[in-house]
Amino acid sequence: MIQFRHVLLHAQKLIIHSLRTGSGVAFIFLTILIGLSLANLSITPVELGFTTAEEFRESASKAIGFALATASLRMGGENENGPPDTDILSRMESGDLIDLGMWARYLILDNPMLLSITVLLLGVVLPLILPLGSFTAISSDVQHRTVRYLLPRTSRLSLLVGRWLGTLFLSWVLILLLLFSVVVYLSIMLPPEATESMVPWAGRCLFSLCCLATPYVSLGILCSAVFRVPMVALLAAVGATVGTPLLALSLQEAWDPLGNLLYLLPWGYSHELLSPNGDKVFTAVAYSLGHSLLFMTLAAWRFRRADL
Amino acid sequence: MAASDRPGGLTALSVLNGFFALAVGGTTIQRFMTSYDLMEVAEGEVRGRGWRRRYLKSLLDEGLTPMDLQILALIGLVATLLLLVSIWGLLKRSNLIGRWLGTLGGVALAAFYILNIDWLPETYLRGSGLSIARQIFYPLFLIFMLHVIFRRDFLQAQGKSG
Repeated sequence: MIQFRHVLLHAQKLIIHSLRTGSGVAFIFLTILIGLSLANLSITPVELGFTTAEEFRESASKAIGFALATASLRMGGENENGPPDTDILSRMESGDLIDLGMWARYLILDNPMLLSITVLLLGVVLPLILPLGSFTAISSDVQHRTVRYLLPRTSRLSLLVGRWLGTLFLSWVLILLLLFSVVVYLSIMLPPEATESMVPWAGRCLFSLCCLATPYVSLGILCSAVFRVPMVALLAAVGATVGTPLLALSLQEAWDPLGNLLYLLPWGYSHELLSPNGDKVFTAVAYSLGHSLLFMTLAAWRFRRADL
Repeated sequence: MAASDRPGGLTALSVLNGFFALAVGGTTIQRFMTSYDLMEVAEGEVRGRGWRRRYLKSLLDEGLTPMDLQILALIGLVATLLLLVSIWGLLKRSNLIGRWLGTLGGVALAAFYILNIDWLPETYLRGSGLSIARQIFYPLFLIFMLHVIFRRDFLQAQGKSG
């Protein structure tokens, strides 16, 4: 039985507790530090004059097309004897990957390029950082047996959902702060005409990153509910996040359908959150929510049966 | 639970204070050295490699003076010392040395970075804009943590010792 007031109370307590613990401080600090470093990485080549904006746009467009082809499991070529890079590029210009070429151009030409690149990089790195915010949510209290003092006053489900909500809210606030810093900096650095479309696109990016964060936070909570030792929960969450794409892309070499293992986590569809096609965005959001629901259902099932 | 009842976040903040004290200490040394190089170039003493001399001359042409760099270095030195001293205060949960010197260290650190952006010419700062933004985040975070999240811990520790 879930009591809404209890859920909010658990969420609030988790946020305050996260800010007081070493792991919470490390999570906040690392998220902001790594996020701004990624933004710096995408902005510095243009800012330092290593390359012109046009050259950077051209090479970024190719790199994004390449990454999209990998993420959508469409790297296998029509002409497998040709050089892989030129093959992919020609396929993006006029072959079966033309939709990916247009998608890359949508991100680079139709919208603020530096913000798009930063958000794409964040989409790859955030799933690895987010478990830092959730690995102690349940396991810490289970390990120290302090959860026993809470359970006479509240239900297990309220506790689980409340802590999930608190972790999710904290992650969303950090993503908001991160994007806000990048947008303010880009608005100062770029000429005013280049920043007109920055705010609406930043809003879209914020929505995409928040949707992306939801299943990964839920995965962190699932690992925290399954494993009693917080460090094991952290290792399991990070291991699953890193291991799934590595395994899927290696096995795809052996047999193409095995590449679909990528869909065990949002890696297979998360890039579609930034698609120019509204239907694909809607589907990706629905998949994200479905994944989150699945992970939370498993966590609730495990936590309700756990001997605490 | 650890033997001490000090929150883990305070320990983490003291480690971060040490990290930022070292970072700003390194920048301070760099500012002092550049200011002496600028003085030499301004006085017409020809030393060092050609590109370095040309670079320093361009900084002088853009209106940067050795005095600006020395003031920045001095603020950096104050920030470094305050942050280093506050590490001990944070670990001991001392209201004066931990909370207030930490706050002053945070203010000095923020002032150091903001004045860097304001005073140094674009050629000097080029490519480091977002890394400065990243470093401004820490003093704000430190002050928020000391005065909102850990305020009660410092006051309780003060009450016990007093």
